[in-house]
This record gives sequence, structure tokens and C-alpha cells, in this order.
Amino acid sequence: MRRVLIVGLIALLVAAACGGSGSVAPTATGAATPAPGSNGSITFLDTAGGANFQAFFGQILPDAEKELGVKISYLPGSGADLLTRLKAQTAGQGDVGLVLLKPDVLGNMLDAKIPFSTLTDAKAQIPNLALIDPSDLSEAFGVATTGRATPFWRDQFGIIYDSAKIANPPTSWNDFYARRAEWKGHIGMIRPDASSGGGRLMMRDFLIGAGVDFSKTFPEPLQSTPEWTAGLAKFKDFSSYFYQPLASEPNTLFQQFKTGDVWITEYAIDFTLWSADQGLLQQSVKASVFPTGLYGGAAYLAAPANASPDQKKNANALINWLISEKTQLRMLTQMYQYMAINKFDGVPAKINERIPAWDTVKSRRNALTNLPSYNWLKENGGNYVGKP
Amino acid sequence: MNSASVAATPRRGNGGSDRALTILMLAPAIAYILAFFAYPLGVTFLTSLESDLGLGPTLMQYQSILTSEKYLGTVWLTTGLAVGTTILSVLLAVPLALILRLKMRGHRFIRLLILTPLMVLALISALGLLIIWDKNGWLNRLFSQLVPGGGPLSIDYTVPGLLLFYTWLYAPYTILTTLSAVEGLDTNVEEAARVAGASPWQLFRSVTLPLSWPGIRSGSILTFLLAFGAFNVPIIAGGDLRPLAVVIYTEASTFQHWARGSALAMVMAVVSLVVITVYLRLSSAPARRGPT
Repeated sequence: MRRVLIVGLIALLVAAACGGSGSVAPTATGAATPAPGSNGSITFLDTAGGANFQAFFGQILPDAEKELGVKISYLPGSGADLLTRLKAQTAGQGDVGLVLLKPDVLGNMLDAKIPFSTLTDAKAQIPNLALIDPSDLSEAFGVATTGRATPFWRDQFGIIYDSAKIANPPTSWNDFYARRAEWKGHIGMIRPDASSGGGRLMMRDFLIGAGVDFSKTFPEPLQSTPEWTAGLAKFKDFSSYFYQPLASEPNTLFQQFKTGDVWITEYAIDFTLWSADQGLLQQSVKASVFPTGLYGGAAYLAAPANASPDQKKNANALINWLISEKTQLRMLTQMYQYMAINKFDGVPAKINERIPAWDTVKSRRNALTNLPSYNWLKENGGNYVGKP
Repeated sequence: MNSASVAATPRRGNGGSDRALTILMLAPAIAYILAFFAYPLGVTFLTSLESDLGLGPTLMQYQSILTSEKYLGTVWLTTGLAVGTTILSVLLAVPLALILRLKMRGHRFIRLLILTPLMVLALISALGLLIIWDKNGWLNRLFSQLVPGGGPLSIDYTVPGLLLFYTWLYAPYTILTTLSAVEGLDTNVEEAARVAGASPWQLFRSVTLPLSWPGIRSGSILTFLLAFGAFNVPIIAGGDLRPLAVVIYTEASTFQHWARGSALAMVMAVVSLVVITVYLRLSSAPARRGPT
């Protein structure tokens, strides 16, 4: 009898795991929508989104399938894997129709001569390109894209703090440093050598606030400047006030927030506030930005030119859908991620209770440049974390 | 000759087809080992002979590792944690097996509990243990209430903490094999020793332990290897304590120092091989002595 029960339980578990393929519920509008897949299919490879955006795409792409009648295969992946895959695509037969990339990955792809379609030549198929700033279509953080990519989101780091513990957050890096004793043992940071870049970007932003000029070439003359030496010494002192050991990954940092060990840090606004909404962080967590700037980036949509004709056609339709006002507003309100489009009349005022308004943020973004210095921080930054 | 002896006598004159059949039966396993062990190991070894610029062959990576305080410290930490976990696992497994062998009331529930760490992903276990043992976690709060002024205990991100977490996760392997060995003992041997006047301690030391030693040893080797290669637990709960697997991951995946990461992986393989070999040599003594 026990054996029958155990077998029955296992069968139920297997059935539960196999069932529910995420089939889309029928639309209630009554409007005629094309059947999913009636207009072909597309493979959408995402190398920029973390767990939060993987969940977001899981929610919105079925809607895109319904509205466009296109079967969308969404795959998270890494930039290195994608580069290998796109290099192997033969013209006209490629199976990846659309990619989402960070600027450095996009730069690597263009350097590797991966052909991308010129989106600005397809404005008739992508009318929502008119919502994007023309400068964002020609360049991506120093990478000349010449119309081959469009931003999908603009991400922003912020000073993340628990408003239940900190009523009056710092307003600049100098202020943060001057008041470090106020939060001694409660300032969090991810390890500089972690796979997540959060810690080394925080360190970089601190150095910029301390006067380090990252426009200088690394290693020389940047390492020889007095600001570099003084900045690192200042960071060593500052980090001696941190909660230690440093978090190994973002989730560990959030756990430290949740247990009350960490009250303040610098990290990605969108992932932090989304995590709070998921219950991984307390709702009292808020974000602010400094006038001297904090890291700001973006993610770009691009369509490989050697994809199959079906994929290329659907790429334009999907790009248009993703940069539509409706989808962009949904991303902003649900994911706290800044929109790529310059249309703000639909933005609900409530959102600015959680994140700074774009007008406040846009002039306070430190772009990630000087990659050699960033890589140096990755490998050596840990040597400049002071002991408590 | 009767039919039984005919059946028992190995057939001669078909050596060729027997050999072919043997090779055919072994072929999938050999192919698997070659494809998924020997080849990747070979590639790793060749990569470890490259310089930081991808040129080679050179032993510079090994030179850097063996002369670096940081890397040698990592090797000691990894080995120490694995050996410590193994010792704790054996100390836990043997008395538990002896008790469970008595099949007292509730023994089935305890056996199920032993399997619990195996049912949960190591990463989830590590996160859970981190939360429970946090200085504001419920175990520390309980401790503070039981021992006023005595807490909180520093468990997270410490060596004792890692030993505790490793033992929780990897001791079941030792417990299960030990239990199997102890329960498989011929009770007549122990009864004979008892009748001959052996005290409980003499019985355990001279009969039970030597006879169940093979099971204890095989489980403890498994525990050692798992603890030596642990990654999920230390990356979450290790803090600044970063054993070899975490350092290799950082070198290869985060820093893209594939040659350095490969060399560390080879060092890791050699160290675990040496420790296991020494352990096997030293631990074969109790089994060989047998019952007195």
C-alpha cells in the first residue's frame, strides 16, 4: 500500500512538472488577433537581463506573441556564447533574429564584424524609432552603432538605503565619506572580484567622486595621477566602515539588507526595487542619486543581418513592440527601469516616490569607459578594501 | 562429467569472441570516461601550460601558484575544511549507525531525516543555514535566551561555520554507507566475542569497527571529495573564506584567467589525489587487523 502511495505521489509530481506549458489565455477584448506563430517565429537572445528581466520577459512576450502573431523563443545567454553563435551563422540561415546587449558586448560584436541590420533604414517597419533620441541610435556609450542598434532600457545605479534606518541619506560621495561613522558597520558592497559588477562600479563611482579622471589612459598616466593614489587611500579608509565580509553576490547583499546588517549601498535601482516587490527586501528600501553621478548604462536591441528572412521580418516587428510607449511604461512601472524612449507624459507620478525622475538622473550618469581600469578594479579592488 | 560440472567449467576455444564481447561491454564506459573525463582533463592540463598571454608551454602558472601565499593558503583552507568535515562526519556516523541498528522506535523517521540534506539543493541549504545562523537568526536568538549574555555565536562566514554547513550537507554520505556496513555485520561474530568475555568497548574496537570499516571508509572518501570541491556553500556562506573551487571560478569566469584557473584545477586534482591515497594507506590498517 505504501509503495502504491509513493508511486502515485511521484506520478503526480511528474505530471505537475510536465503540465502547464505557459499557454496563453485567450484575449478578452474580442479584437481579431493573429494566431501565435501565424506570422512566423523569432529567437530572441538576451545577454543583458538578470533574473528580474528574465521574469519580466516571461510575462510580456506572450502578449507580444498574441499581438504580433509571432512565436517568440526567448533565451537568456552570455555575450561570449552569443558571439560564437553569431559568428557561426551563415548568411540567410541564422536562427537568432534579435539580441539584447550591453554596450561593451555590442562593441565587441561590432569589432568582430558581426553584421547587424541598420534599423534606421527600416523606419517604416519600426515607426516607434521616432520615440528614441537620434543620438542614441548613432552611438552607444562611445561605440559607434550608426543605426544598427536601439536602446531598450536605460539602467541606473543609485544609493540604495533602508529609509526605516536612514531618514537623511547622503547627498554626495563627500557627504557619504564625511558621515561614514554614522553608518559604521552598516555600509554594504559586493566584492570587487564577484561576477556581478556592482561592487567595482561602486568603487569606481567613489573614485570619480574623489576626483579621479577616468578619461586618462590606463595604466599610464592614470595610475600616476595624485588623484588615483589619494582616491584609493580614501576608499581604503571608507571601506573600513563597511559591513564585512563583503557580499559575494547581489542576493547576499540583499540578505544582509533584510537581516538589518546593511542599511546603505550603491547598486542597480531596478533590480533592488524589483527584489523589494518580490519580498526579497523590505519595502522601506529606497533609491537616490548623487549630483556627481553614479553608474548609468543601457541595453540595446540589435537584429543580426545574417538571420533568416522570416527572423529578420519579425525582428523589426518585435523591436517596434518592445520600444512602444505601452511596453516601455510597463517596464518602468513594473521593473523600475528607465525607459529608452523620450515620451514621459504617460509616466505615473507615483513612480517617483520610489525612483528619482529621469530629468534628475539623466545628467548624473557615469558611463562605463576605460575598460582596462575597470578590469584592474575587478582583480585588484579587493586589496583596497580596508579592514574594520 | 555431469551437467553441473559442464556448466561450471569455463568454455575454452572461444577466447577471441569472449575478448570481443568484453571489449564491447566495456566500450560505452570507456568512451564515457574518455569523452567526459580524460579529454576535459587533458584540455585543462594543456591550458594550464599557457602564459597569461596565451603562449606556451610554460610552467609559470604553477610557479605563481606554488610561490603565492594567497594560493597556498587557499589550498590549506580547502584541505583543512575537507579533512575536518570528514572527521566530523565519521564521528557522527558511527554512533548514529550503532544506535539505528537497534531499530528502536522512530528509527525510520531518523533515517528519513538523514536524507533531508540530500533532498535540498546545496545552494538553498547554504542560504537557509546562513539565515538561521545569522546573529539575528532564530538559533542565535534561542541561544541568547538559553545563555543570557552568551551570544550571539559567530557562525556565518567563519571556519567553524563552514565546517558546520559542510557537515550538514556531506555527512549523510558517510552515515548511509556506515549504516549499511554496520547493519550488514554478522551478529554471530559479535555474540561470540561477547560470550568470550569482551567488554562493550573491546567488542566495538576489535570486532564492530574493523568489520564495518570498509563502509565507513568508502563513505568518508565521498564526503571528503564533496567537501574538497565544495562551491555553492562557500560562495554564499564563506565570506572572505574562499576555497579552491571558488578561487578557480573567480580566476576563470570573472577574471578570464583561463590558464591560471586551469593550473589551480590541476593543483586541486593532485592535492585531492594525494590526500585520498594517504588516507587509503593509513586507513587500511584497521580492516587488515580484523577481529581478535
